[in-house]
Amino acid sequence: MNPVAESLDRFRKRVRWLNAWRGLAIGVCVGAALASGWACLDWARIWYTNWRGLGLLACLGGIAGLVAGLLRRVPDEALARSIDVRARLKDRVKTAVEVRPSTTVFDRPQSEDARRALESVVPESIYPVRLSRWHIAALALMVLAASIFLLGNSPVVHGPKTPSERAELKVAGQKVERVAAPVAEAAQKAQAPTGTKLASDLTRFAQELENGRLNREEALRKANDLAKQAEQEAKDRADTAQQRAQQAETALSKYQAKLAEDSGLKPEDLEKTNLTPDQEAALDQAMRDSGISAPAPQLSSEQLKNMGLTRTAERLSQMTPNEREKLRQAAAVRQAAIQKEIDRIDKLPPAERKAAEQERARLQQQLRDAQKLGEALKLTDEQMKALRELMQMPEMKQLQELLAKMRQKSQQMAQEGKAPTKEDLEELKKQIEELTQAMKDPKAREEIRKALEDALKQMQSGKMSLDAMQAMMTSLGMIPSSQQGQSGSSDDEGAYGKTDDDSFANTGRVNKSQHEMETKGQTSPVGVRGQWRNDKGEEWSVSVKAPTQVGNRSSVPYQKVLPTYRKAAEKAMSGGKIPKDQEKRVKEYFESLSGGK
Amino acid sequence: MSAFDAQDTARWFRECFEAVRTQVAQVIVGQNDVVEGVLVCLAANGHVLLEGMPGLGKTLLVRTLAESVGLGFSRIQFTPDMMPADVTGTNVLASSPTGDRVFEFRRGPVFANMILADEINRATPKTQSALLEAMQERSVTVGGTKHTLAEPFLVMATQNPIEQEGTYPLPEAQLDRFFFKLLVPYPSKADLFEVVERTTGSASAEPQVVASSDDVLRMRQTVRDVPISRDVLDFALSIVVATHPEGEGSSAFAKRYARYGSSPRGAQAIVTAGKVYALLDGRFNVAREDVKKAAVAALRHRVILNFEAEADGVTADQLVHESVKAAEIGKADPIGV
Repeated sequence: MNPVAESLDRFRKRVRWLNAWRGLAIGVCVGAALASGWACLDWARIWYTNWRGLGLLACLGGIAGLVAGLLRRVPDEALARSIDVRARLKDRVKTAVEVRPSTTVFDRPQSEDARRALESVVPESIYPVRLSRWHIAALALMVLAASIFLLGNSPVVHGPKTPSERAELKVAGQKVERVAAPVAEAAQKAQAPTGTKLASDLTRFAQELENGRLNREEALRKANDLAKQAEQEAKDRADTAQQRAQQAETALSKYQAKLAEDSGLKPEDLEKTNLTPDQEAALDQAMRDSGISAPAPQLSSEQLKNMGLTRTAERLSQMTPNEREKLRQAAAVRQAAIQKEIDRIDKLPPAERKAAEQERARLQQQLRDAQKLGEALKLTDEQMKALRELMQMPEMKQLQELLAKMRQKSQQMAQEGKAPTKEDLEELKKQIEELTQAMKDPKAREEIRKALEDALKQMQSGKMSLDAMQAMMTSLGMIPSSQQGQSGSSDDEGAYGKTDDDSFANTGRVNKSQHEMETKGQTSPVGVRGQWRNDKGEEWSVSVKAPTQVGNRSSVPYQKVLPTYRKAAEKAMSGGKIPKDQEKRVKEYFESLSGGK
Repeated sequence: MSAFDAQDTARWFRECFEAVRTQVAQVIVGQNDVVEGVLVCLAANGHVLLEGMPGLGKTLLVRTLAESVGLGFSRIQFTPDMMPADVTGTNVLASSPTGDRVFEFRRGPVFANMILADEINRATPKTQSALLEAMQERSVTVGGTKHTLAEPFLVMATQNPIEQEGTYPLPEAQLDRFFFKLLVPYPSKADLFEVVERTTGSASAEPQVVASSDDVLRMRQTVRDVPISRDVLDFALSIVVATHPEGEGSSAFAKRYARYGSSPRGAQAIVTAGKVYALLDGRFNVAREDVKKAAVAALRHRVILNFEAEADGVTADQLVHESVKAAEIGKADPIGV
């Protein structure tokens, strides 16, 4: 190896660090340029960011540049030439690097000369750390990005919002942001694109609030839209949860049928117990005739259905062998009696026989029912025992109950927008684990467990959406904080969005019998501080002052309907439904309409 | 040869060079660049063309140099009526020892180690071309017989830029055979003082022989061994290419003012002279500075300017300087940190 090439190592090391230093600046330049672009998008309300995002971009650019600089190759020849230029070594090093030893007589002395010259040079002296144009550009671009971001978020740019309103919305934004994260997580777990979109919208909404990009009116309107979206998302999750529960039920039924078959109960045997109401009546009659009291039902019709069993099967399994024998004998006696009567009719003269034809048909039907009952009673004692054991398996019952509970919770969520509590979900989860563990068939266990867990996941996701909606509305003062955690309860019906008797809070829409309609003209939100109707503390309500014509112009003179509305208002005031502070305002309103009369 | 031997050789080269220079300096006052240029040509095995006003010591310089190195010297004063045979020599009828009449070749003045071709532009092209073969081939052919010249062989031609009436400017092909063209300037007042004092007094300085023809030949071999990096070589070639009026690498200045650029001999001259300068500087490699130093003297007579250049008063030296500048573009520090 060329001895000069070895001497270049310390210079190469220095150059690498300087490359890294310059790469850092270039990287920061790129990062800061991107950050500037992002800040512009932020200003234009297309893609929001924050200080952390901008800083991260610049830092990532810087780190990438630094690493690229460090890893950049420093060729010997370029380095040698550079040293020659910087240290004024008159091409000694470059020649020494290039020329192969022992080519001419001067090669070795030349190499030695170059090495000596290199030894006298300190890398730091010819490669000092300097601020280059890149560094200045990096600083300038960072300042530019920060300026754009600051300007874009300046209150001056975004209209005349009061500092208190900004502060209030900022706090609301922080709260919304906090609830958006779990929604996104839950949506990701449930693999729900709509949930992901909702989480994304919530995050964006939170950023808009935090950045002061929305005034109260816009915020409320947007919150309303998001609430609907969340509600829909929760319903979708609940529907999916129900479907999963249904799948679990189907799997459970199959499992039970298999258990029954394993116990010697073939499907055709169980089919024998599937009696019509007349046949059931015949059984009742037979029981009464034999002096057997009817046993109390152990399982609900739903449970029996899910297990593929009948009420008759349950009743028969609860009887003793003697009782069943008695029933069999009674059934045989009854069959013989009916047959005897049919024979008697058959032996009548043709004219009489024709008259008794109807009676004969009835008797034949009774005979068929009795025969069917007889078939059901032919099930062996062993089969009855197996049937009894199957019905009395505790985990089956519990699983049935669990499924019913999950279905009920899903229905509540889908129909009433009521989310299960965290405790409910945890209990369900625990039960799923315990009950599926008790199942012996691994395939069925896995199938049921998976379906149940999926259903639970969907419910959790739906709950997240509802919770997010609740938190969002609460943070914006659209429902009182005292009702937090009561989403879906009957009390908070209409606490947000459209209600039967309230206008949309500051949304630019006015309710009319559940049908929202766009107001015509500019709405003017007015915040009114008052008392929540349930006397649970002070609350902000926001009314919308808009032109009176909503939808089509009414053909009924308002004087005709005014008394009705006035009466309704008076009733509401006397019933304490209108905050006391606002009663005067309501009165004045009606007085203004009726000219003070 | 070991590293120490090589260093000794380099040191000897410098000492030898300096010794000759010192001897010349005893006779020639000032004109350091010219003296150095002539010595470079001697060491680089190239002929030199000296251009300057009459009386500036051109002839004295050459003669002193020849005396210092102990080489055979002859002077040819070129005139319009001079014939080629006056330069190369001719066959004359002579009596042999047996009394027969035979043609005998009588050597001309070109048969010396150092030739001073004084006012070479006064001779006709025919006579000038007689010198051409001697300069390039180091031999002359007379009467069908080739006569090899002794080594070292160095032609030092002079011409003056005035009195152009009745002169025959050297053709491009012949100019190209000169390694360097050196311009002999007027001496400074201090130098002139010295010149007058030396030449009008009774004392006269006689140069001593400090080197031999073998030394000169060894010097020439030593020069050839100096290494040059590809970068520096590329730089030298870029300068040459930049003098071309067309083609890749030609400079804007050359495109405008050059009629013909330098031949490859120009590049050879630059590199070889650069090697001499490197040794003189105590280095074992050629640097860009050496190339730049040699460029003007090596190229000024090899570029032919066009009419526009003459009209604008542009000189060949300017063109070479601009070519050097053009070649330097983009050859800065490759590691811009």
